[in-house]
Amino acid sequence: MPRELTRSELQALEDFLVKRFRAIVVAKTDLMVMQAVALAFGVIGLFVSGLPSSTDFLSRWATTLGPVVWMPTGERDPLGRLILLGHELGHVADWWADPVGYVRRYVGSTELRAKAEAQAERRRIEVQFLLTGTLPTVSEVRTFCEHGYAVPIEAADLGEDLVEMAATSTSAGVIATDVGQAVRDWLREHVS
Amino acid sequence: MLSILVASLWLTAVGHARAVSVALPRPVAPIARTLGWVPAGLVLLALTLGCTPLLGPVDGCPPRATRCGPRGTAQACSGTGRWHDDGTGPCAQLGPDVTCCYTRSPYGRELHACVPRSACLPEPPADAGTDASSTMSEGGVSDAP
Repeated sequence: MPRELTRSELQALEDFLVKRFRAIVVAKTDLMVMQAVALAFGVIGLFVSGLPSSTDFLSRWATTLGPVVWMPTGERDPLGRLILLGHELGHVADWWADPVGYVRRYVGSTELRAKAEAQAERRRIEVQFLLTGTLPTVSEVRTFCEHGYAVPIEAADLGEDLVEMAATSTSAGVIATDVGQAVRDWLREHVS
Repeated sequence: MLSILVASLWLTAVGHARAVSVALPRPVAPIARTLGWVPAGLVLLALTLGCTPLLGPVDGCPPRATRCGPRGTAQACSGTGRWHDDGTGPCAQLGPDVTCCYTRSPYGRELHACVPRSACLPEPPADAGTDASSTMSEGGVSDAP
């Protein structure tokens, strides 16, 4: 079980990760702006289908488009915020690696969208494991793709299988992703 | 396709605008230069999108099965019968003792993943498969270990 980080350490780690992965993090405060951006991307259906309510969308859901991460206004716990950011930074890193191809795969195929989400979720799992020593619950793994990503059940199954494979590796101490490795290296350097 | 074009161009514009705002005191001219790339980008992108399929050929694998792929990667079979890497690359690159093998997940299911050799289980008979639906158990680990 890793030592619990202080608020200032969590903030320093977040700043490091945001800079390392060239992300722009802003607060999600305006639903109209988010919907307008989604419409511009032609993927409004993703957001509409995953919206339990506009309040939840703003307060609980993070959204990433390109290098810009809109963080939900309701996530005030710095540890929870950092774990959530791990997922979003996965999208940013994958987008920087292949901006056109990533958008094309994400928008053009539900199967590849589920895979992209699973690869981002693997970052979140690793960040959570490194910071807390815990993994997602079984229900979080099995319903991972069912909300918000507008994928059919077959594609959701693929995403959930890939997430379970990720959790299996992580629980065995295998930190495979760029975000996870960055967190692990930062912890080694800054936390005794 | 139009939506993808719009999305890609917006993403490109965001990336450039950010760089410009840091590097130059007068962003108007660089932004104009960025917009000048739009027509060329449109053509290039349209050619790219039009010429390559998103998904490869169907492999015919049983949906929800897992395996270790030819390059030593952990793979899962999609609902369309295609193998997908787990995204980490060859497991051996993740550590000196890490390998792709059949193992047990913290939630009780047996599947293939990148793990230390000590976590490997004997591979099941070929006809048994590793179909998730038959091995996932609600009674498995319900929370973090």
